[in-house]
Amino acid sequence: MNSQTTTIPVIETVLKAPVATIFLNRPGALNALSDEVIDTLADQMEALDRDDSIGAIVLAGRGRAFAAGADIKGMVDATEEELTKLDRFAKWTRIWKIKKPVIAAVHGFALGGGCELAMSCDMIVASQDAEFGQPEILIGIMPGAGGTQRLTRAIGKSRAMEIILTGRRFTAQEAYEYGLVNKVVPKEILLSEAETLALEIAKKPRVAVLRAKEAILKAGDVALEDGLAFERKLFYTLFSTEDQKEGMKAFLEKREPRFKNK
Amino acid sequence: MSTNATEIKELVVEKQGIVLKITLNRPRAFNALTRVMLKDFKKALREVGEDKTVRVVVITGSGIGFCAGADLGRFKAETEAGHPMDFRKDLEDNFHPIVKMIRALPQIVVTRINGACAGAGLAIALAGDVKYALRSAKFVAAFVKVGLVPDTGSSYFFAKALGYSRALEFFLSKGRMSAEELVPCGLVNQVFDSPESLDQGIEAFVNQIAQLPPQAVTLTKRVLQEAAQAKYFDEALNAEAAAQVFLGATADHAEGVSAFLEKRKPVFKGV
Repeated sequence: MNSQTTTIPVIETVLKAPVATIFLNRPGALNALSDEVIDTLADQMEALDRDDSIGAIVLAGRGRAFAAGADIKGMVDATEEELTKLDRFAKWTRIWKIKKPVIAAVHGFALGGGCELAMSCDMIVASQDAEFGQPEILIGIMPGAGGTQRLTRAIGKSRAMEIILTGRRFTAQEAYEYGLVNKVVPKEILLSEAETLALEIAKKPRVAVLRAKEAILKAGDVALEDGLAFERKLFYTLFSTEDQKEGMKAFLEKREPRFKNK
Repeated sequence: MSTNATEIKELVVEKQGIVLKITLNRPRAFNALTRVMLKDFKKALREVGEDKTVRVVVITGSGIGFCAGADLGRFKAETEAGHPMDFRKDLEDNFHPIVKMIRALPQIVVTRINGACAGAGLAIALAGDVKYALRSAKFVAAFVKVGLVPDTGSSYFFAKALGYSRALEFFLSKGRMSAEELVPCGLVNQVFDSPESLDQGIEAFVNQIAQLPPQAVTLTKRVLQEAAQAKYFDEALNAEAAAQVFLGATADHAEGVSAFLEKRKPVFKGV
């Protein structure tokens, strides 16, 4: 590889504390998710997760698409044995374990791995032109980075079946009606809207935000009774935070709280 | 390659200052659409979407017609022998992108309806943000006569503007309406008596757009699109507020306010 190709980072992070926006930055490849992209993305997200000045993360794509899928070229000759041994998709787990809220700002295509990446985020803001889909079936495979699980949980079995088995794309408006995306906005203000939402959340007492996210994610994982017990336990832990004391006092004193994220 | 074949373009795209003019150019076939034209049309719309120097897109037809819709003969001939035409694929790949992209463009799209439009040509004429027509231009509902339904969005445009019953009457019984008849319901904005006055009307509109801050123009298009489709009043209020949050932070907004207070002409930069 020559040095020119390595000077353009595949991921670019813009810090506007308390919000950080991560851009997938391979516009020429419609932000196809190569191994390098996923690794670098996970590195960046983990770094932001540790950064106390950051309260919420926005994930967006540069160019004409959010992310138009996996790196097909890099996979065409792969064998079952290789894939199983390397377990390349295991890298995604790092993204799924990010503790801070992550908002996907989706425009253009979010297909295959791109759709799975958007669904890996906690919320999705989409532009009117966004199109989602899991077209793996059209090239002889199936979703492999969470599509069958996350799409089904997000929009229900019947719709997930239709989308995954036909490979058809669905629009931002459909995704909104299915409950997959939080809001649909004009593409011109997509980033502004996602960052506004991120800022609103980033200003909330940090520990409570992280615990609430953890509890909500648990809801997709466990039986109701276990989820309720988990929630109750986390709820009690918040009473050891300064922000709980401050928040409740401010409420009673009818003033604005001043949170310290402690 | 003969030079003649490449010189006669079925779709002519010309940039004139802040205007991009797209002309459907098969005058002898009343500009009936072929797959090649639709492909070039899509490409032109995709490219202009990225071109910040263009503020208005004008779509028109050459000769005496605007657009006669799909060239069904050509579509059939191009379909592989023994295979039925895949209508869904043709609509989704060739026709829908045109009307969707027109609505999605950041620029204002003026359809210059210089003559008859029929079939999908109806839909393209009515997909414009602003519709300026020759008084004599006819809108022809050709679909049902060939055993098809109104497509490419024409059912939507007519049902929304005329209401269900009058739209049904148009497609099934009247079969045609003049540009002038479509002014009261808003499907056509203005009619003009001659091609010259039509061009003057468009020029006047373009000159007004040129004076305005680009982002506010685009977002006015967006909030009105939202309002036109909103089921609830709150949706429109939310769309307005979201756009205002964005525009309130732009340099052009600050410039507009300063110019107003200083009683001078604003200089907008598009940021």
